[in-house]
Amino acid sequence: METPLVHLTEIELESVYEPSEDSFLLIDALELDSGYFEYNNPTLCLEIGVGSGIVITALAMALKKFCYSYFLGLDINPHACKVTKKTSDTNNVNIEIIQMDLLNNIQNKNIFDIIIFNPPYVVTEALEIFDNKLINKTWAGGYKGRQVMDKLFPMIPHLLSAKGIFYLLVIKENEPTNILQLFEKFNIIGSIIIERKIQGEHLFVLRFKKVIH
Amino acid sequence: MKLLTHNMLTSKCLKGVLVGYPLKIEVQDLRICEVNCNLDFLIRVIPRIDYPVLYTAMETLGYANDLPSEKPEDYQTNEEFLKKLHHALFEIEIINGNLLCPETGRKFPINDGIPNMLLNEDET
Ligand SMILES: C[S@@+](CC[C@H](N)C(=O)[O-])C[C@H]1O[C@@H](n2cnc3c(N)ncnc32)[C@H](O)[C@@H]1O
Repeated sequence: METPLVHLTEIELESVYEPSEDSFLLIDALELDSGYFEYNNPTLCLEIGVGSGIVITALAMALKKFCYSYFLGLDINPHACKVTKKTSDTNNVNIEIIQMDLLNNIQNKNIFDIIIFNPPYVVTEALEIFDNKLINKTWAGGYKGRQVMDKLFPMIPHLLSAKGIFYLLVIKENEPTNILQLFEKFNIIGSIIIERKIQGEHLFVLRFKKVIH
Repeated sequence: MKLLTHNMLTSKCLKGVLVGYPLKIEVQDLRICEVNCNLDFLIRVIPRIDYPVLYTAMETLGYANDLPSEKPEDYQTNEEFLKKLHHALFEIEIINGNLLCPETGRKFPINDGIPNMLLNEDET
């Protein structure tokens, strides 16, 4: 996948997540599935916590080569929303953007073929996630780094389409195996599709699909 | 914000709100932008939208004449209809305005095309 052009000013960097190893691993994970997308033409695509917009823009640029799709990006941080708009414009793709807390205002309808989340995953004090500083919200994950993502998980079965795929970036401390087990209870099966060790972090991308009866 | 996006949004997370759908629209600035139309894509989108909600949104914006009030039976092959639908879903953009909870009237501002759906802690 082509890497989108992303430019963050010094001021934007004070609150918006700068594309990092985790962002790139997620893009690499999506690239692994590009053959599947070409065959299956995802219709509606969603990213939660877009930050600079690098991941959803990369996806939009890649899909544009063979199909039409709709892209929706969400972030709790207003600056991230604006930067994502800028990133999508710079790279000539169309992305709808909404400032929102997780999926709180999205109708429970199983319409999304792709859902992506690179959550705040760093293990911190439980209370850290309530810190109002926007830059803290990019990484602070509370207990086991799971506090923010755990709130989102139960919403996924209601939004994912029958053939939909959910991509989630996690680190070892988030206990990926436990997350896979948790999703089994929702009738959603997942596996690790790519992992990478970088300094101080062992990153994984989990991919989930609904069990079709 | 395009009308396909409006079609998915709810305010049900507000305290005391039962359905919170569809959100009402108040427009200050609106832009019409030309977007390439792809019929295959539209046919894939149709089963995922709430058509009456889209039609009501068009009515609010003063474009009731640009879309039939009901989806024609032959929608998959009716090219004229699909083009109108494309226009309604993807070419109309609300730049500034508000979305309103249908039950409480709580306003969610749209600035520069980006709706802000965040709530205060005491609202959830
Ligand atoms: C690790 S960053 C990932 C940014 C970008 N997707 C990337 O991969 O470079 C996590 C993002 O999630 C956002 N975020 C944190 N908590 C959120 C919440 N409750 N609702 C929506 N977005 C949230 C942050 O603002 C931040 O942009």
